[in-house]
Amino acid sequence: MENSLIITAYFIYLPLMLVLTYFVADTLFKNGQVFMMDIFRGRLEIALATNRLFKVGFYLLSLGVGLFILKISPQTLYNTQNLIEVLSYKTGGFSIYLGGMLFLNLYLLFRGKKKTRQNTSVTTQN
Amino acid sequence: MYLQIILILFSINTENSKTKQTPIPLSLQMQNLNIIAYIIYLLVSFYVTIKVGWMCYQNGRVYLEDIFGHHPSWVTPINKLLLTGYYLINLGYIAFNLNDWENITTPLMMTDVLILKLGFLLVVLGALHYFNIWVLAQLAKHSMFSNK
Repeated sequence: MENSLIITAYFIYLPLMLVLTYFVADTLFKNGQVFMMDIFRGRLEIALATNRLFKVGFYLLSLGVGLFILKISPQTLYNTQNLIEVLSYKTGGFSIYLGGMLFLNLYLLFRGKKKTRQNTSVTTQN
Repeated sequence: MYLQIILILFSINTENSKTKQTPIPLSLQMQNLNIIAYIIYLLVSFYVTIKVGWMCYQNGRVYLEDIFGHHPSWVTPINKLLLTGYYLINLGYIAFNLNDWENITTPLMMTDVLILKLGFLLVVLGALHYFNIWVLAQLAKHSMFSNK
């Protein structure tokens, strides 16, 4: 009984984690393309390549963390109520982590934009 | 597999009824008040969060247009990303909070606990909201994105 509960929990948690990661990465990098184009001043190839590299990094980090926190010990999971608690705790924590990563990415994009502007002002002064 | 999951979700504490001599009637067995409380809590808090987020998404657009006046192409993507981040963090926090509730035994206790938890959640949401407004105001003040 204990074992089947844990496997049930994994079977709910894993699809949820994958879908969440895919959805967030998709939103982030579809919208982030505009910033990348701006940062690299319309050089399409570099912008797209950087965007793709960021995306791969994001996927690796998110899936890595998601799998890293997968383990549920049998002592903490013994009835349905615990199943709900453990699952929501894990998914919620993962979702907060994803949100943090999203804002970190936004911050990086803003920084890139700022740096580009500084460089342009320096070159125009020279 | 998923049918089994659903069945497990709604069949509650069969071990308890086995140990006692007299079988507990089904109507009482179904009353695991903790699970009912969780469902109510999740429904109410998700509804409030999603509603507030959507309102901020629609009304915050004007501010973003003000701040990013020189980059009109940035407004929609930023707005969408902010909404996604808001949903992730808030809904994640709500689910995260479901962790260690006390054991609920009576309906009265259920209302007590529910009201306390929901009230705390609303205070946190309000604080986050004001923090958000403060950040937007700071951005507008420094206007770091304006092209001089």
